Amino acid sequence: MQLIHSGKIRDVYEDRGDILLVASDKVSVYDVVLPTPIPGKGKILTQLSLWWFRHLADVVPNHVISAEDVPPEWAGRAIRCQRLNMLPIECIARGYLAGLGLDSYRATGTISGVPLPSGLAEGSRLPEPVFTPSTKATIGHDEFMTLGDAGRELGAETANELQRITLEVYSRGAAIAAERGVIIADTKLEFGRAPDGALVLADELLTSDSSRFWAAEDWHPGRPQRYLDKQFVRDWSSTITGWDRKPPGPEVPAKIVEATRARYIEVYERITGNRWEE
Amino acid sequence: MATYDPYKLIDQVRELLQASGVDPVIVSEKDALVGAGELLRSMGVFPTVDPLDFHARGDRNSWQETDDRNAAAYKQAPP
Repeated sequence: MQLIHSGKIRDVYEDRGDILLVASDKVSVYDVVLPTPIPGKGKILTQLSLWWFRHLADVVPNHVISAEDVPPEWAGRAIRCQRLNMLPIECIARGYLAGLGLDSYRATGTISGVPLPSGLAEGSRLPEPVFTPSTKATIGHDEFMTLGDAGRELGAETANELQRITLEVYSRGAAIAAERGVIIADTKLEFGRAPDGALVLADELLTSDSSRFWAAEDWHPGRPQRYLDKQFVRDWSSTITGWDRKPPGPEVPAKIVEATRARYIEVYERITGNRWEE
Repeated sequence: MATYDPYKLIDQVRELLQASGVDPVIVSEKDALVGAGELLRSMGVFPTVDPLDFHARGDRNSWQETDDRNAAAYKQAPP
């Protein structure tokens, strides 16, 4: 087994021709990974991702080979995956105005070239989810692409198919989560091609590391929304004086760690309807 | 299906230009990527990234954090 990459939120290994994604317990705020892990986060998000892969398998094939055929020390937080040829764009679906989508809307009235009605506020629900692909930046930051850009890069047929699948995965997932009091404001998907050329959903799926989760009961358009999972960490970090929001981040107090862990579990239990068990 | 990494192609074109005495500067990574994809497809080659390179290249944070960082960059320098 060969370590390919040790990242901010997970490690990636190559094993017997497969890829092993191993989620960590690391958490970040303001793009800075904090030195204190949230125990169990990697397992919770991995199990949530697997739940979504199973529930949305009829929409598109996915890269999961096994969650059991992994080294025992990583049990629960590792997934053995197909080795796919990855597509060089990020496929993003946005159902609400936040982040880069909000700033683009404020500046241009559009997101990724898709015109939106005037008068929407921060956190507003969009009339329909929009597909907002972006580059995967190697330097600097990601840039919005229009559907036309994606078509020029990958071919119109592939771009249209990515749009269709991305919006269907998001819409189905968001509807399931909404029934359980969770707003999935947006999400980022990654795709690869199998050896036969088929598009396959890769990476993780509809977790709080790949999506914005808000509590439905807390949703108030017109102001920044509160994250369902790591708001405790964000709130706590905003009270720290003397930290310039650059690495290294501060150690997180035990009570904040425990509260945050409880929220990750709450998200898992709300969405899946299953009780979280270690 | 023949495939090739568009990022690798961009690097190779840059090196080729430098070897020819030109000092290229990528003013838009998006345009470079779209152009590389178009060039590959015009030759019957599909732009994809080897999964090992894909994971090794991008040290991604969570999506929210990345999107917020992209938003901050957008505010500073709108396209």
